[in-house]
Amino acid sequence: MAAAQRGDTEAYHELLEEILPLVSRLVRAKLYDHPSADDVIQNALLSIHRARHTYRPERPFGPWMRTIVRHAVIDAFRDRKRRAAREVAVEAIEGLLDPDSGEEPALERNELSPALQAALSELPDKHRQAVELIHLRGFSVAEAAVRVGVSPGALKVRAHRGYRALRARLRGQES
Amino acid sequence: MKQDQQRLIAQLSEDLVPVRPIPRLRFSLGIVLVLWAGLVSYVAYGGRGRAALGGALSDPLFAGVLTGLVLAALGGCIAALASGTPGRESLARRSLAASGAGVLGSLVLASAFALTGGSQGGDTVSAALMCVRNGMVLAALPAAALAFLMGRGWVARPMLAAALVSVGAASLGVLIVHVSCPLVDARHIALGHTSVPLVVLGLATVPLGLLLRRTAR
Repeated sequence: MAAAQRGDTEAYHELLEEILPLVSRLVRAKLYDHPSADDVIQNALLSIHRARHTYRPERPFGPWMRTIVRHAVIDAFRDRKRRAAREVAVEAIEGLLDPDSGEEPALERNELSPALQAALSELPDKHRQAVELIHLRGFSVAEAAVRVGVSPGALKVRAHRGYRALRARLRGQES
Repeated sequence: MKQDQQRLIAQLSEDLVPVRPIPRLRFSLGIVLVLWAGLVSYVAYGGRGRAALGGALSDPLFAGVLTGLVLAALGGCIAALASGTPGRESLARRSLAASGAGVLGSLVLASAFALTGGSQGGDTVSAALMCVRNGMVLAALPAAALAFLMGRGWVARPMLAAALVSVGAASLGVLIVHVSCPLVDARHIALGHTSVPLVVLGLATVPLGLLLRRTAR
């Protein structure tokens, strides 16, 4: 991880490959064979990627990684609970939020700030679509991936890249 | 799905940019304590310090509350910083226990002295409110420093982290009040000094938690 923090992509790739079975075991120990387990494994890998700056080389890697994976599992449980509560409401207004229903998308009704709209419009189509579906329209990664027709992992990476570009653009506008 | 994971790993590796690791916990704690020491010297050189601190230390109430607040301050700050660093949960838990013991111990001690006749009465409330206000003002800088340092980390539970920041920073702030306040009345110390961490905990946890939720992780 210390090499990855310095930008060594090969070492990082190797590390992720090496920890994948352990991450998978840790997630499946809590979620068993729940269909969302693969999603959670990917979320855990993304969290490890995002939190890599918090690893201190003089500290053991195992507890650091396990904490992040554990929280990815906790987030998944919370997400599942939230979604279960929301699904009742969604059933009641079925079709209202369906982008194919001819209704104006919720995203546009939400009146995003002009700066955010401008930054969004500058993103490549693939990234913008992923950010809109996951971050702004609140679809789950699995739902959004089905809509776009790509794998959840690929969509997550698109959303991650889009979100990063968006943040960089908004910061650039501020300064 | 295995293929998706492999693809994700490849894309994350491709996306990799160098990052600077967060500072060591003791370094972060050092920054907070140096800022706090600056506040102490500001109060001391501003002529608001207690004339004879040495004499006050022989008073069991003063010394007991001082010890409790030191424990609460160090425990709170260490627990807050540890809660923003993955893998330091054990340290966070131990520091949280120390901090809780410090806050409650000093509060119970001062209340016990007040109830057993250690209070001379007088205008306790307005003087206590003044000390609470001063303690909160002096807590602002350590709280800002802690929140900034934690914003660079990975805070899994923002509300808990915010509670720890509140207690740690408030205890640091009120420590200065405790050593500089000329009043030694037990009721005043209970109301105006030992209550500050709990007051700040109640007032600052939610806004700080919302801030940490936006900045960290």
